[in-house]
Amino acid sequence: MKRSRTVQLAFMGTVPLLVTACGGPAAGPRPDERLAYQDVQQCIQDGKVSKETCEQEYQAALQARAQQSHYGNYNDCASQWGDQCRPYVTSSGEHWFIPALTGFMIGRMLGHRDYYYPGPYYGGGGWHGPYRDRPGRGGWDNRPGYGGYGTPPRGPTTAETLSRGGFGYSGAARSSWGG
Amino acid sequence: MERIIAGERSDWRELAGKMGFHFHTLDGAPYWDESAHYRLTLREVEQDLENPTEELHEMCMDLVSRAVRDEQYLQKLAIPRPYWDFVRTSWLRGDPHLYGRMDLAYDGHGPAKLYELNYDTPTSLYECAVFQWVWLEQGIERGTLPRGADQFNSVQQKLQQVFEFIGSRLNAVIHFASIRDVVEDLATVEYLQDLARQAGLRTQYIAMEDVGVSREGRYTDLNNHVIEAIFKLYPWEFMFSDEFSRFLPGANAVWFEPPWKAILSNKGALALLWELHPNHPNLLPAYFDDAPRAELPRGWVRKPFFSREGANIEMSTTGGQHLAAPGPYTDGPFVRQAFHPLPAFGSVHSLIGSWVIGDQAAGIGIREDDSLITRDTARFVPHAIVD
Repeated sequence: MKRSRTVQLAFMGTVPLLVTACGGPAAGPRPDERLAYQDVQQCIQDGKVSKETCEQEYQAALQARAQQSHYGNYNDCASQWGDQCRPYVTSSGEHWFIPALTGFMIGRMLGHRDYYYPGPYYGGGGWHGPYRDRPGRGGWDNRPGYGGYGTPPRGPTTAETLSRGGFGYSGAARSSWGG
Repeated sequence: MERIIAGERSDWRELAGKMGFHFHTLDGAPYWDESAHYRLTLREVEQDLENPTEELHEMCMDLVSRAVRDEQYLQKLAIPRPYWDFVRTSWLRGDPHLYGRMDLAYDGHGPAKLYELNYDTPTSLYECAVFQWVWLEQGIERGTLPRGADQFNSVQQKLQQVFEFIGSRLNAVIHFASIRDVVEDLATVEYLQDLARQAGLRTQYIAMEDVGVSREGRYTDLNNHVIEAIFKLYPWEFMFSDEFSRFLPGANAVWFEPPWKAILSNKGALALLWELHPNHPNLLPAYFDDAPRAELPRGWVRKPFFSREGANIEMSTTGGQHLAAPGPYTDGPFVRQAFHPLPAFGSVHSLIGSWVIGDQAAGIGIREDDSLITRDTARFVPHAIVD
């Protein structure tokens, strides 16, 4: 197949989009319905799926979120995410703080009991990046911003802004410039 | 490769609205046009488009690695001297890039010819990656396209891979910036931002005009947070002439596209590619134009280094017809490229935009125009692979 297997938009447009390519050897199940909610309550009130499914899918999204970012104490979390931090207890009983979920999505697959959610993706497994090895191109972990795996995230740095409006005016003077 | 006239989906406008594709019609004229589509074979796609795209991309990467080691190149490309180190360092450090698009002339016969590179601020991304893809899926589902039809379009999948890769290494908010109130650019930025968020990256939109600068010479957002990483849909050559450009070398920000893209977003690169690879089957002869005011001989096209969307392109066909597109890019140097007419399908001319995402050929979007010069009014027409 020469095309993307699935196309998903989580935030753009008025409804979340998740479509799996049909036909071709690699086709997966097609979603016949895509639901997005801010929280469990909203999901239950909508009544399209059972209360259990709402809770289960929310927990799954939360778990994916926690795998992606978690902190041992509130202050570390807050330095990165501000007041978005929520306590989270793992299945093995560890107490973490994680950034709150802004929403979760359920895609009900035709004839399947599988559900998809657009949680924080986990790249996991086998993919080593599209960038081919090339002399002189290996150093991009070694600079500010690029922490590499396992580096504790740094909080946003605040700085006094002296002036604004020093970018963007060469473009405005041109009638067309997009590529 | 054939152009097929076909009926539109009756509900595509409604679908476009739901999917955030608001610029499908521009100033009353269609931009998305599915009253026709192109049909290619898998062999045409793989041998004539995908492989040459990867080969041309490798030649481009080779050109960058030469240019950062030889000041003559930077000079010829008219990159302002104060930014030579900035550009150089960004390549030598290995700053990753997201994407680029090359425009190819191809009609199913003979080798595809490279017209231009759009390697810094390419647009028409979302309509290619998403709306075109959904068009194919619905066509198969509704029986207007054969069951086994496919599309050369893994743009979304490859962008997701790139963002996952970046997300695994970048510990910073990525700001996404475009010029305020330009709806088409905003859609491109929103789309990339959506993918970045799906990959778990933290993102923040900022209008290019709102970027601030701190006492320490770092760029800041509207919350006075230091901008550590930023995607800008705004060309490097404009950045270099803006007031805040003087802070670039010291601002310590991660840029997408990276500064080394200044070398490839510049039509001077076409002349350098020809110099390095004369008679390459996918290149057209191109030279720096030493006499841009002189009359253009037959069989040549004159292009400003920094023109976009066909602006200020002057063309003298082999038959002696003279064409010129107006535009704002009257200053700066020019290149001359051998005239090679756009393929004609009936009364329309089409141009193939071939995407490179994270160093891989990733798919195509076809634009149609009634003129030999493809302008910003060119319509986006979908394609299918059918064997």
